[in-house]
Amino acid sequence: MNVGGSLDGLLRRWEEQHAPNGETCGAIDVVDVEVIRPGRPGIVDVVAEMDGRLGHAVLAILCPKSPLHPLGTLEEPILGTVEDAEGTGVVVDALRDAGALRLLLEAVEGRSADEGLHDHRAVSVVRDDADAIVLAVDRRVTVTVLHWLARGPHPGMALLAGLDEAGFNHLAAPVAFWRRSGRDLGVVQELLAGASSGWALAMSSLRDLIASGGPPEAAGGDFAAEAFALGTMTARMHVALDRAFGRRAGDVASWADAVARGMGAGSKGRSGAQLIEALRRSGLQPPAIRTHGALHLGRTARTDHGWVLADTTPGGTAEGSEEPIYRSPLADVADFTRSLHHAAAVATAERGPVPAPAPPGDLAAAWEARNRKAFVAAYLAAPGIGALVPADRRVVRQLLGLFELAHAAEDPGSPRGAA
Amino acid sequence: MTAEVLPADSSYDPSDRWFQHAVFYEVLVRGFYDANGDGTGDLAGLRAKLDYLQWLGIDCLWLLPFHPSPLRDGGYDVSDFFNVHPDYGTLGDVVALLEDAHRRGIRVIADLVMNHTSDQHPWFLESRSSRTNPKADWYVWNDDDQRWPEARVVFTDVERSNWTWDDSRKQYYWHRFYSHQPDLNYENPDVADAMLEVVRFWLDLGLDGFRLDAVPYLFQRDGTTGEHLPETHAYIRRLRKHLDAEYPGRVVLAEANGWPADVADYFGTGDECHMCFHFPLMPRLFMAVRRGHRYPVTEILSQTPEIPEGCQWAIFLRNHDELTLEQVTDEERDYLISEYAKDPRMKRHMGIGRRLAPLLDGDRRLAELLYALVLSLPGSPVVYYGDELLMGDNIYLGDRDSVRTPMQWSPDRNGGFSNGDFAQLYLPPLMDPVYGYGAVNVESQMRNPGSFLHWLRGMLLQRRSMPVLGVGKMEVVDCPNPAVLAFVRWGDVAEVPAGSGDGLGSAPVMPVVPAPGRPEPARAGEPAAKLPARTVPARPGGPCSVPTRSQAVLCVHNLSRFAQPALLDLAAWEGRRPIEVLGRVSFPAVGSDPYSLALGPHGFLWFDLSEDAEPSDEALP
Repeated sequence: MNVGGSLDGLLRRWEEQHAPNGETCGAIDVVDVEVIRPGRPGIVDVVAEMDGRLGHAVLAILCPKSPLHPLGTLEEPILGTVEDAEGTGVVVDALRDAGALRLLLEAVEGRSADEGLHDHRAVSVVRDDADAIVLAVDRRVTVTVLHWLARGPHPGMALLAGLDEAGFNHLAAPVAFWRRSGRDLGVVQELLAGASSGWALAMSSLRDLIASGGPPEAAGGDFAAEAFALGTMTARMHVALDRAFGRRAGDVASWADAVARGMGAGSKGRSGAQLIEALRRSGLQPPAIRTHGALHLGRTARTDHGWVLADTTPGGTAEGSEEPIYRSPLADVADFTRSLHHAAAVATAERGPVPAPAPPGDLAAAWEARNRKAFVAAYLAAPGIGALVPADRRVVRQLLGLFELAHAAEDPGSPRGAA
Repeated sequence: MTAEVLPADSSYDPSDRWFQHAVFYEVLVRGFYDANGDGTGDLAGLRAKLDYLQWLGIDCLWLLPFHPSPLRDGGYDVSDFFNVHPDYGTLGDVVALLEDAHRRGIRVIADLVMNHTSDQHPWFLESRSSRTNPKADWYVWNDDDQRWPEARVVFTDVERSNWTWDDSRKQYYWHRFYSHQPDLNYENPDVADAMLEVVRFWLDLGLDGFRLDAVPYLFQRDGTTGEHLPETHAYIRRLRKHLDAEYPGRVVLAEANGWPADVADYFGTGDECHMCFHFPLMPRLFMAVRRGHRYPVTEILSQTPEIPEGCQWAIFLRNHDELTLEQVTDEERDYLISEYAKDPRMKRHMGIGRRLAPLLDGDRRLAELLYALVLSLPGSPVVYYGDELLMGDNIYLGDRDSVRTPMQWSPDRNGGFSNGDFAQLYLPPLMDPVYGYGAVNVESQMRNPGSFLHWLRGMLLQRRSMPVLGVGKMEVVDCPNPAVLAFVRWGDVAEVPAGSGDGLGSAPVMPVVPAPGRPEPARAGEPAAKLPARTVPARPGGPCSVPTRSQAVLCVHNLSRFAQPALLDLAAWEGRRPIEVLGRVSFPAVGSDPYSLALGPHGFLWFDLSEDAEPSDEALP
C-alpha cells in the first residue's frame, strides 16, 4: 500500500475538519506512517507536523464499492481517493466510520478481524472535540483517539496510566494504550455504563433548587452528598498521584508571585493583596505534586458504582506545555470550587424571565456555598490527604484563597466551557 | 368484617430456606387488635386477625417484644424473658397463636433482646445489690465511667454517656442504649448459657425464629468501638449451631445497623445469622425518589457483598423505629431531614419518626413505586403493620410512639382496634381527616378493589409467582437515563407443581410438600388437628430438590416525578419477548438495539423475560 504521494491532500482535508478554530497551516510534513492493516480495507496511521503541532490522522482505505458506516458526527468521513498497486481506493477518516473504526480497534487490541463483532450500529460517539474523539464500541469499551499528539508521552495519558498503576479506581480502567515511537496515540478503556456527567447532575440540582426555592438541602436534587463524594474522590486522586509521580517541596512565594502577575496591578483588592503578600513572606514549603491541572465538574461522571474521573487532560501541565508542573493539590480543589461557582452562575443566567420562588442568584449562591463546604470538608477528611496539605487549617484556607484568587481574575468567558 | 380466606396451605414452604421467599409483616402486639377490651392490643387479638394476614398474603409475622416489661422502651426493656406481659396475654395465648398461624401457613418470629435487660429485671436487681452476689458479674460494672471511650453513644439526644452510676452498688454500669437498659455481660459464661436457655424455651413453644435485637453490641473490648467484635460473632455461631442441631428450619435475623460489608459478617460463612437487615438501602430509596436518579441505590447495591448460600437480606421501607440515618453522610442526613422532617418534631434520635405515607406526603404513586422496589430488589421484604393501608403517624407522641399508634380496622369506635374506653387506649388512634381511622382503615379498603391494600395484596401474590425475586441473582441493566433504575433478577427456581394455585388466578409456585409426620394443614374454617408444639418441619433440600426452571424478571422503575424514556441494554436477553407481569401483555421482542420503553411519573414495569413466558389470552391484541 502506498499512499505517500496523496497524503498531503488527504491531510489538508483532515486538517480542515480538525484544526482548532478552523485555522489551517502552511506546510505539512509527514513524520511517521504506519500501515496498521494492509490491503483493502486497509488502515494507515499518520503523524504529521503541522505548524509546530503534531497532527494524528487514521485513514482507512476502502474498495470503491464498499459501504460506508458514517458515525453520527457532523463531518463526512470521505477524504479523497488514492491509486496504488491494488487500484483505486477510497480514503476515509477511520474515526468517522464505524466499520473502519472496528478494524482499528481490532488491530490495537490485537484481535483478529473474525473475532470482532460486526454490528456497526454498536459504535457511537461519546465525545468529539478539538483534542480527541471518544467512541463507545459494543457497549463494552471506549476508544479515545487523540487528534493532536505530544512529542513524548501525552500528559493526560501519562496521568491516566499513573493513576491506574497507583491503584486509583475512580477511573474507567485502561484496557490498552496505543503508543508508537514514544508517543501516545490513544487509549482503550472500559465503558462506564450508565454514567452521567457531573456538570449535568449539578445543573439538574440547581434547576430543581431554583424551581422549588428554599434552602438547598431541602430541594429534591440536593447535590451536597455528591459534592462530598467528589471531595473524597479528589483526595484519593491526589494520594494516588503522589504515589505515582512523587512530591516536591512547593514554593509558596513563587505561587503567590504568579498569582499576583496574573492578576495585574490594582485588580487584587485590598484583602487579596494582603493575602498574596502574607503568603509571599510566609516561607512555607508545603508538598507539591503533579495535579490534574483542570479539574472541574465536566471532567467527572457519576456511575452506578460511584463517581469517576472521566477525563485526565490536561494531565497536570501548564497551558501550551507538555511538561508537568508540580503544585499544591489545593490548586485542584480551587479549580473544582471554581467549577461549582460556574455552575451556579450558568444556572442563574439560564433562568431567564420566568418567576422563581426566590432570586435565582441567591439560591445559586446558597447552593454553591453548601456544595463547596461539602466538597472541601470531604477532601480534608479523606485518609492520606494530611500528608499533602498543611496541617494548619488557617494555612489551608490561605492557600485555597490564593488559588481561588487566581481564578477570580479570569474572564469567565463561556461558563460552560470553563466549567 | 371478614376477610376472604385463601386455601390454608397455599403459601406454605416447608423447606429450611423458606425465609428466602417470605414476605414478613412486622406487628406490634400492643397496637394490632385488642381482644379483651382493655385498651391494649394482645396476642388473642392478633390471633383473631390471622385470617386478614393470610388474605393479605404475608408469610411470616415478626412480633415486637411481648415479654413482661416496664415498657419504657416499647418492650425492649425486658424484665422476664420466660413469660408474657400480662397486658398481652399468657404463654397459652402464645401457643394458640403459633398453632393457628402455622395452620394458615404463616410462620412467627419474635424479637429477642439479647444485649440488655430492663433495670427492673431480677437479674439486674440482684446484680446491683452487692459486688459479691451470684449475679454480680451478669452485667458490666466499673469503678469509673472512663472505660471504652471509643464506644459511641447511640441515643445522643437523651444519653450523655454509656455509663450510669448505681448508688446501691457504688459502681457504674454499662449500657449502649437507655440508662434503664443495662447491658448483659456476655464474658460471663453463665449469661451466655442463660440466653441460650431463653432461645430454647421459645423455640420449644413453636416459635420459628428470632430477630436478634442490637446484636453488634454484645461484647466490649478495650481500644475498640465495642461493635462487631469477633467475640460477638463467635457467640452467634454458637447460637446458630444449637438451632441447626436442635431446631432446623428456624431462623435468626440480625438487627445490625451498619455498612453492608460489616453487616454481611453476621452471615458468617453461612454459619451465623440466616438473615440481616439491609439498613443503608432504606434511606437511599427515599433519597433516590426525591432526587429523581438511581445512583444512591445502585451505589449501595454495588457496595453490598455477595452473601453466603442459604442467607438472605431483609429489606424494608419503614419499621417501628425512626427512619434511621446513621448510615448516611452528614450531607445526606441534612438533606433527608430537611426533605422528610420539615417539622422538628418529626426528628427522632438520629432519624425521622414518621410512617411511610406521611413521609411521601400521601403520594400513592410514590408509595407504589417504593413497594415495587422493595418487592423486587434482592432480599425478603418486611411490611410494617398499617403501611399496607398507608396509615399515618402522630408526631406529637413521645419518642417513637409516633409510628406505633393503633391499627385502624374500621371507621367505628377507636378505629375498630378496641371496644374499650378511649381513655384506656395505650395510645390514641389517629383521628385527623387525612390519615385518621375514619378515612384510612382496613374495612373500607377491603371493600374498595382500587385501594392501596388491594394493590399491595395483588403485588404480594404476584411476587409469590416469581420466586426468582427471592433468590435470583441481580444485574443492573445499563440505561443512559439516570432517572431509570432497571435490573434483571434471574436464576433457577423450583418448578411449579400443577394445580398449586391460590384460587385467585395467579400461581404461587413454591412447592407445598407436607413434611414427614406433619398433619395436613387445615383449611380455614375447618377444625384443625392439634399440632405438637414444634410444628414447623425440617425437610432437607427444600425447593432445591424439586425440578427447577430458569426464570428471569426485568424490573424497570422511573424514580423521577416526570415521565421518562428508558433505553435499556438488554443485549444479553436478545430474542426474548418480555411479558408485562401484571397484565401478561406481550411486548416487542428484544432485538440487538437498545430496548425502548416509556414510563409514567414514578411508574414501574415488571416483565417476565423467561424463555417460556406466555402472555395472557386476554392480553393478546
